[in-house]
Amino acid sequence: MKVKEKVWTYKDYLELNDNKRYEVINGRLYEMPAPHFEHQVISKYLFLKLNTFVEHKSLGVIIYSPFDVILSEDTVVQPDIVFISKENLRNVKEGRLYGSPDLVVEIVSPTSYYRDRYEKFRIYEEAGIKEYWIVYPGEKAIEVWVLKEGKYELHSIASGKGKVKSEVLKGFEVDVEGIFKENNPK
Amino acid sequence: MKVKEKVWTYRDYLELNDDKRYEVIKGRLYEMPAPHFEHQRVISKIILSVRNFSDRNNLGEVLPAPFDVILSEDIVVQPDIVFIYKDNLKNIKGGRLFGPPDLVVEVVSPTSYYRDRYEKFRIYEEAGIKEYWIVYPGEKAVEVWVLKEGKYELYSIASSEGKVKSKVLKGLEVELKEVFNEG
Repeated sequence: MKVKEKVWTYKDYLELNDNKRYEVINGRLYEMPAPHFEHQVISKYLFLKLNTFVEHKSLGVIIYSPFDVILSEDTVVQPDIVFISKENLRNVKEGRLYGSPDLVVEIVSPTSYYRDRYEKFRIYEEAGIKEYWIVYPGEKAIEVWVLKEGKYELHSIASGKGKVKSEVLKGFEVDVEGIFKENNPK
Repeated sequence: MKVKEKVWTYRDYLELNDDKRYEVIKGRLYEMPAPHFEHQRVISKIILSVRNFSDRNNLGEVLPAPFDVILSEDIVVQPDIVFIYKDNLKNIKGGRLFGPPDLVVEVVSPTSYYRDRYEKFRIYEEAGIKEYWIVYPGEKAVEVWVLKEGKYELYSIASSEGKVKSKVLKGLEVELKEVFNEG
Protein backbone atom coordinates (compact mmCIF):
# COMPACT_ATOMS: atom_id res chain seq x y z
CA MET A 1 0.00 0.00 0.00
CA LYS A 2 1.49 3.33 -1.05
CA VAL A 3 0.86 6.19 1.33
CA LYS A 4 1.44 9.92 1.48
CA GLU A 5 2.76 11.76 -1.54
CA LYS A 6 6.15 13.26 -0.83
CA VAL A 7 9.75 12.18 -1.23
CA TRP A 8 10.58 10.23 1.88
CA THR A 9 14.06 9.85 3.28
CA TYR A 10 15.50 7.60 5.87
CA LYS A 11 15.37 10.45 8.37
CA ASP A 12 11.64 11.03 7.82
CA TYR A 13 11.12 7.34 8.31
CA LEU A 14 12.84 7.37 11.69
CA GLU A 15 10.56 10.14 12.85
CA LEU A 16 7.42 8.14 12.13
CA ASN A 17 6.02 7.17 15.42
CA ASP A 18 2.65 5.56 14.83
CA ASN A 19 3.44 1.90 15.58
CA LYS A 20 2.85 0.84 11.99
CA ARG A 21 5.34 -0.92 9.75
CA TYR A 22 6.62 0.89 6.68
CA GLU A 23 9.21 0.58 3.96
CA VAL A 24 10.71 3.46 1.98
CA ILE A 25 11.53 2.55 -1.60
CA ASN A 26 13.09 5.20 -3.83
CA GLY A 27 11.53 7.89 -1.70
CA ARG A 28 8.04 6.37 -1.60
CA LEU A 29 6.52 5.32 1.69
CA TYR A 30 4.70 1.98 1.80
CA GLU A 31 2.69 0.72 4.72
CA MET A 32 3.24 -2.98 5.39
CA PRO A 33 0.10 -4.92 6.21
CA ALA A 34 0.44 -7.65 8.83
CA PRO A 35 1.41 -10.87 7.07
CA HIS A 36 -0.99 -13.78 6.82
CA PHE A 37 -0.75 -17.04 8.70
CA GLU A 38 0.50 -19.01 5.68
CA HIS A 39 3.20 -16.42 4.97
CA GLN A 40 4.44 -16.70 8.53
CA VAL A 41 4.43 -20.52 8.54
CA ILE A 42 6.60 -20.56 5.42
CA SER A 43 8.83 -17.88 6.89
CA LYS A 44 9.25 -19.99 10.02
CA TYR A 45 10.27 -23.18 8.19
CA LEU A 46 12.76 -21.41 5.99
CA PHE A 47 14.14 -19.37 8.86
CA LEU A 48 14.67 -22.48 10.99
CA LYS A 49 16.58 -24.26 8.24
CA LEU A 50 18.72 -21.25 7.43
CA ASN A 51 19.38 -20.57 11.07
CA THR A 52 20.49 -24.12 11.81
CA PHE A 53 22.92 -24.03 8.91
CA VAL A 54 24.34 -20.60 9.71
CA GLU A 55 24.70 -21.20 13.45
CA HIS A 56 26.24 -24.60 12.98
CA LYS A 57 28.94 -23.13 10.76
CA SER A 58 29.23 -19.80 12.62
CA LEU A 59 28.76 -17.86 9.42
CA GLY A 60 26.91 -14.86 10.77
CA VAL A 61 23.35 -14.03 11.72
CA ILE A 62 19.97 -14.94 10.26
CA ILE A 63 17.25 -12.56 11.32
CA TYR A 64 13.60 -12.19 10.41
CA SER A 65 11.37 -9.23 9.76
CA PRO A 66 10.68 -6.62 11.04
CA PHE A 67 14.29 -5.46 10.93
CA ASP A 68 15.39 -2.25 9.23
CA VAL A 69 17.85 -2.46 6.38
CA ILE A 70 18.99 0.96 5.23
CA LEU A 71 20.17 0.59 1.64
CA SER A 72 20.41 4.31 0.85
CA GLU A 73 19.13 7.68 1.93
CA ASP A 74 15.76 7.01 0.30
CA THR A 75 15.44 3.22 0.58
CA VAL A 76 14.67 1.41 3.83
CA VAL A 77 13.41 -2.16 3.57
CA GLN A 78 12.36 -4.92 5.91
CA PRO A 79 12.99 -8.15 4.02
CA ASP A 80 11.23 -11.23 5.39
CA ILE A 81 14.53 -12.95 6.21
CA VAL A 82 18.03 -11.48 6.14
CA PHE A 83 21.45 -13.11 6.38
CA ILE A 84 24.32 -10.94 7.55
CA SER A 85 27.75 -12.53 7.36
CA LYS A 86 30.17 -12.23 10.28
CA GLU A 87 32.33 -9.67 8.50
CA ASN A 88 29.28 -7.60 7.65
CA LEU A 89 27.93 -7.44 11.21
CA ARG A 90 29.97 -4.32 11.91
CA ASN A 91 27.45 -2.46 9.71
CA VAL A 92 24.73 -3.08 12.25
CA LYS A 93 24.40 0.14 14.22
CA GLU A 94 21.70 1.18 16.67
CA GLY A 95 19.84 -1.98 15.88
CA ARG A 96 19.70 -1.44 12.12
CA LEU A 97 21.76 -2.61 9.19
CA TYR A 98 23.40 0.19 7.20
CA GLY A 99 24.25 -1.26 3.83
CA SER A 100 23.57 -4.53 2.07
CA PRO A 101 22.92 -7.84 3.76
CA ASP A 102 24.53 -10.89 2.14
CA LEU A 103 21.28 -12.67 1.38
CA VAL A 104 17.63 -11.70 1.58
CA VAL A 105 14.42 -13.68 1.31
CA GLU A 106 11.04 -12.25 0.33
CA ILE A 107 7.88 -14.31 0.59
CA VAL A 108 5.49 -13.01 -2.03
CA SER A 109 1.84 -12.29 -1.35
CA PRO A 110 -0.82 -10.95 -3.71
CA THR A 111 -0.35 -7.46 -2.26
CA SER A 112 3.44 -7.53 -2.63
CA TYR A 113 3.85 -9.43 -5.89
CA TYR A 114 5.01 -6.59 -8.11
CA ARG A 115 7.16 -5.01 -5.41
CA ASP A 116 8.97 -8.23 -4.53
CA ARG A 117 9.38 -9.64 -8.01
CA TYR A 118 10.30 -6.48 -9.91
CA GLU A 119 10.79 -3.40 -7.76
CA LYS A 120 12.82 -4.90 -4.92
CA PHE A 121 14.53 -7.19 -7.41
CA ARG A 122 16.07 -4.12 -9.05
CA ILE A 123 16.77 -2.45 -5.74
CA TYR A 124 18.54 -5.49 -4.31
CA GLU A 125 20.46 -5.92 -7.54
CA GLU A 126 21.60 -2.30 -7.52
CA ALA A 127 22.41 -2.49 -3.82
CA GLY A 128 24.73 -5.39 -4.55
CA ILE A 129 22.93 -7.94 -2.38
CA LYS A 130 24.65 -11.13 -3.46
CA GLU A 131 21.70 -13.45 -3.26
CA TYR A 132 17.94 -12.95 -3.37
CA TRP A 133 15.44 -15.72 -2.67
CA ILE A 134 11.89 -15.17 -3.90
CA VAL A 135 9.29 -17.51 -2.44
CA TYR A 136 5.89 -17.95 -4.15
CA PRO A 137 3.56 -19.75 -1.72
CA GLY A 138 0.70 -20.10 -4.19
CA GLU A 139 2.90 -21.76 -6.79
CA LYS A 140 4.99 -23.62 -4.17
CA ALA A 141 8.01 -22.19 -5.94
CA ILE A 142 11.35 -20.81 -4.79
CA GLU A 143 13.77 -18.89 -6.99
CA VAL A 144 17.36 -18.21 -5.96
CA TRP A 145 18.89 -15.24 -7.78
CA VAL A 146 22.64 -14.71 -7.55
CA LEU A 147 24.55 -11.58 -8.51
CA LYS A 148 26.89 -12.08 -11.46
CA GLU A 149 28.72 -8.97 -12.67
CA GLY A 150 26.13 -6.72 -11.13
CA LYS A 151 23.07 -8.55 -12.52
CA TYR A 152 20.92 -11.23 -10.95
CA GLU A 153 21.03 -14.61 -12.63
CA LEU A 154 18.67 -17.45 -11.82
CA HIS A 155 20.93 -19.80 -9.87
CA SER A 156 18.43 -22.34 -8.64
CA ILE A 157 14.68 -22.89 -8.92
CA ALA A 158 12.18 -25.53 -7.87
CA SER A 159 8.41 -25.70 -7.67
CA GLY A 160 6.12 -28.36 -6.26
CA LYS A 161 9.04 -30.63 -5.45
CA GLY A 162 12.80 -30.69 -5.66
CA LYS A 163 15.48 -28.65 -3.99
CA VAL A 164 16.95 -25.20 -4.30
CA LYS A 165 20.46 -24.36 -3.29
CA SER A 166 22.34 -21.30 -2.17
CA GLU A 167 25.59 -19.96 -3.47
CA VAL A 168 26.34 -17.50 -0.68
CA LEU A 169 25.65 -20.18 1.92
CA LYS A 170 27.63 -22.88 0.17
CA GLY A 171 26.26 -26.32 0.92
CA PHE A 172 22.85 -25.05 1.98
CA GLU A 173 19.95 -26.59 0.14
CA VAL A 174 16.32 -26.92 0.97
CA ASP A 175 13.56 -29.21 -0.16
CA VAL A 176 10.57 -27.13 -1.28
CA GLU A 177 8.12 -29.74 -0.04
CA GLY A 178 9.42 -29.16 3.48
CA ILE A 179 8.76 -25.44 3.20
CA PHE A 180 5.25 -25.58 1.76
CA LYS A 181 3.88 -28.24 4.09
CA GLU A 182 0.10 -28.11 4.16
CA ASN A 183 -0.50 -27.72 7.84
CA ASN A 184 -2.41 -24.52 7.71
CA PRO A 185 -6.12 -23.80 7.97
CA LYS A 186 -7.33 -22.11 4.77
CA MET B 1 7.17 -34.09 -16.31
CA LYS B 2 10.00 -34.86 -18.66
CA VAL B 3 9.82 -38.23 -20.35
CA LYS B 4 11.92 -40.38 -22.62
CA GLU B 5 15.47 -39.38 -23.41
CA LYS B 6 15.89 -38.71 -27.08
CA VAL B 7 15.67 -35.68 -29.36
CA TRP B 8 12.03 -35.36 -30.26
CA THR B 9 10.76 -33.72 -33.40
CA TYR B 10 7.38 -32.62 -34.49
CA ARG B 11 7.10 -35.76 -36.60
CA ASP B 12 7.81 -38.07 -33.66
CA TYR B 13 5.19 -36.18 -31.73
CA LEU B 14 2.55 -36.79 -34.39
CA GLU B 15 3.22 -40.50 -34.26
CA LEU B 16 2.55 -40.70 -30.53
CA ASN B 17 -0.70 -42.47 -30.16
CA ASP B 18 -1.30 -43.11 -26.48
CA ASP B 19 -4.07 -40.59 -25.69
CA LYS B 20 -1.85 -38.56 -23.40
CA ARG B 21 -1.06 -34.86 -23.76
CA TYR B 22 2.50 -33.84 -24.52
CA GLU B 23 4.56 -30.83 -25.46
CA VAL B 24 7.88 -30.89 -27.29
CA ILE B 25 10.27 -28.15 -26.21
CA LYS B 26 13.64 -28.00 -27.91
CA GLY B 27 13.54 -31.70 -28.63
CA ARG B 28 12.45 -32.73 -25.14
CA LEU B 29 9.13 -34.47 -24.65
CA TYR B 30 7.00 -33.39 -21.68
CA GLU B 31 3.88 -35.13 -20.54
CA MET B 32 1.15 -32.71 -19.50
CA PRO B 33 -0.70 -33.74 -16.35
CA ALA B 34 -4.44 -33.03 -16.25
CA PRO B 35 -4.92 -29.51 -14.90
CA HIS B 36 -6.50 -28.86 -11.52
CA PHE B 37 -9.90 -27.35 -10.86
CA GLU B 38 -8.54 -23.92 -9.90
CA HIS B 39 -6.38 -23.77 -13.04
CA GLN B 40 -9.37 -24.51 -15.24
CA ARG B 41 -11.62 -22.07 -13.42
CA VAL B 42 -9.14 -19.24 -13.96
CA ILE B 43 -8.74 -20.14 -17.64
CA SER B 44 -12.51 -20.20 -18.14
CA LYS B 45 -12.83 -16.69 -16.78
CA ILE B 46 -10.02 -15.29 -18.90
CA ILE B 47 -11.07 -17.00 -22.09
CA LEU B 48 -14.58 -15.60 -21.75
CA SER B 49 -13.26 -12.04 -21.57
CA VAL B 50 -10.85 -12.54 -24.45
CA ARG B 51 -13.38 -14.34 -26.61
CA ASN B 52 -16.12 -11.74 -26.02
CA PHE B 53 -13.72 -8.97 -26.93
CA SER B 54 -12.41 -10.71 -30.02
CA ASP B 55 -15.87 -11.69 -31.27
CA ARG B 56 -17.35 -8.26 -30.66
CA ASN B 57 -14.61 -6.65 -32.71
CA ASN B 58 -14.30 -9.48 -35.22
CA LEU B 59 -10.57 -9.87 -34.64
CA GLY B 60 -9.88 -13.58 -34.94
CA GLU B 61 -10.06 -16.87 -33.07
CA VAL B 62 -9.61 -17.64 -29.36
CA LEU B 63 -8.96 -21.25 -28.40
CA PRO B 64 -8.34 -23.15 -25.18
CA ALA B 65 -5.81 -25.99 -24.78
CA PRO B 66 -5.31 -28.67 -25.93
CA PHE B 67 -4.53 -27.19 -29.33
CA ASP B 68 -1.23 -27.85 -31.08
CA VAL B 69 0.96 -24.89 -31.92
CA ILE B 70 3.98 -25.87 -34.00
CA LEU B 71 6.64 -23.23 -33.49
CA SER B 72 9.49 -25.13 -35.13
CA GLU B 73 10.64 -28.61 -36.04
CA ASP B 74 11.44 -29.37 -32.37
CA ILE B 75 8.91 -27.19 -30.55
CA VAL B 76 5.24 -28.11 -30.21
CA VAL B 77 3.29 -26.38 -27.44
CA GLN B 78 -0.26 -26.33 -26.19
CA PRO B 79 -0.70 -22.94 -24.52
CA ASP B 80 -3.64 -22.64 -22.14
CA ILE B 81 -5.22 -19.96 -24.34
CA VAL B 82 -4.29 -18.92 -27.86
CA PHE B 83 -5.49 -15.90 -29.81
CA ILE B 84 -4.97 -15.96 -33.57
CA TYR B 85 -5.56 -12.80 -35.53
CA LYS B 86 -7.86 -13.41 -38.49
CA ASP B 87 -5.09 -12.72 -41.02
CA ASN B 88 -3.08 -15.56 -39.47
CA LEU B 89 -5.84 -18.14 -39.56
CA LYS B 90 -4.42 -19.27 -42.90
CA ASN B 91 -1.57 -20.84 -40.90
CA ILE B 92 -3.94 -23.43 -39.47
CA LYS B 93 -3.41 -26.64 -41.40
CA GLY B 94 -4.64 -30.09 -40.55
CA GLY B 95 -6.23 -28.66 -37.40
CA ARG B 96 -2.95 -27.27 -36.04
CA LEU B 97 -1.34 -23.87 -36.04
CA PHE B 98 1.98 -23.72 -37.85
CA GLY B 99 3.80 -20.64 -36.63
CA PRO B 100 3.33 -18.17 -33.79
CA PRO B 101 -0.11 -17.16 -32.54
CA ASP B 102 -0.63 -13.44 -31.79
CA LEU B 103 -1.21 -13.83 -28.09
CA VAL B 104 -0.84 -16.72 -25.66
CA VAL B 105 -1.87 -17.17 -22.05
CA GLU B 106 -0.31 -19.65 -19.64
CA VAL B 107 -1.77 -20.27 -16.20
CA VAL B 108 1.07 -21.33 -13.92
CA SER B 109 0.92 -24.30 -11.57
CA PRO B 110 3.60 -25.76 -9.28
CA THR B 111 4.46 -28.37 -11.92
CA SER B 112 4.76 -25.82 -14.73
CA TYR B 113 6.21 -22.82 -12.91
CA TYR B 114 9.73 -22.92 -14.35
CA ARG B 115 8.57 -23.94 -17.80
CA ASP B 116 5.97 -21.19 -18.10
CA ARG B 117 7.93 -18.37 -16.48
CA TYR B 118 11.35 -18.99 -17.98
CA GLU B 119 11.51 -21.72 -20.60
CA LYS B 120 8.37 -20.88 -22.60
CA PHE B 121 9.02 -17.21 -21.97
CA ARG B 122 12.20 -17.46 -24.02
CA ILE B 123 10.60 -19.73 -26.60
CA TYR B 124 7.63 -17.41 -27.13
CA GLU B 125 9.99 -14.45 -27.28
CA GLU B 126 12.17 -16.14 -29.89
CA ALA B 127 9.14 -17.32 -31.84
CA GLY B 128 7.96 -13.71 -32.10
CA ILE B 129 4.68 -14.15 -30.23
CA LYS B 130 3.67 -10.53 -29.76
CA GLU B 131 2.05 -10.87 -26.36
CA TYR B 132 2.38 -13.36 -23.52
CA TRP B 133 0.14 -13.38 -20.45
CA ILE B 134 1.41 -15.26 -17.40
CA VAL B 135 -1.21 -15.93 -14.76
CA TYR B 136 -0.28 -16.91 -11.18
CA PRO B 137 -3.43 -18.17 -9.44
CA GLY B 138 -1.69 -18.67 -6.09
CA GLU B 139 -0.44 -15.10 -6.03
CA LYS B 140 -3.57 -13.76 -7.77
CA ALA B 141 -1.26 -12.02 -10.23
CA VAL B 142 -1.30 -11.48 -13.99
CA GLU B 143 1.64 -10.25 -16.06
CA VAL B 144 1.28 -9.06 -19.65
CA TRP B 145 4.53 -9.21 -21.61
CA VAL B 146 4.74 -7.45 -24.97
CA LEU B 147 7.42 -7.88 -27.59
CA LYS B 148 9.58 -4.78 -28.17
CA GLU B 149 12.41 -5.15 -30.64
CA GLY B 150 12.47 -8.88 -30.17
CA LYS B 151 12.42 -8.84 -26.34
CA TYR B 152 9.52 -9.11 -23.93
CA GLU B 153 8.84 -6.05 -21.83
CA LEU B 154 6.45 -6.00 -18.92
CA TYR B 155 3.54 -4.03 -20.35
CA SER B 156 0.92 -4.48 -17.65
CA ILE B 157 0.81 -6.16 -14.26
CA ALA B 158 -1.59 -6.40 -11.37
CA SER B 159 -2.01 -8.61 -8.36
CA SER B 160 -4.88 -9.11 -5.96
CA GLU B 161 -6.90 -6.24 -7.47
CA GLY B 162 -6.85 -3.82 -10.36
CA LYS B 163 -6.80 -4.50 -14.08
CA VAL B 164 -4.39 -5.67 -16.71
CA LYS B 165 -4.60 -4.53 -20.28
CA SER B 166 -3.63 -5.98 -23.63
CA LYS B 167 -1.70 -4.29 -26.37
CA VAL B 168 -2.41 -6.77 -29.16
CA LEU B 169 -6.11 -6.68 -28.30
CA LYS B 170 -6.27 -2.92 -27.94
CA GLY B 171 -9.02 -1.94 -25.56
CA LEU B 172 -9.19 -5.27 -23.75
CA GLU B 173 -8.89 -4.97 -20.00
CA VAL B 174 -9.38 -7.76 -17.52
CA GLU B 175 -10.44 -7.11 -13.96
CA LEU B 176 -8.48 -9.36 -11.58
CA LYS B 177 -11.26 -9.71 -9.07
CA GLU B 178 -13.37 -11.32 -11.78
CA VAL B 179 -10.60 -13.78 -12.62
CA PHE B 180 -9.59 -14.91 -9.15
CA ASN B 181 -12.72 -14.53 -7.06
CA GLU B 182 -14.50 -17.74 -6.40
CA GLY B 183 -17.90 -18.29 -7.85
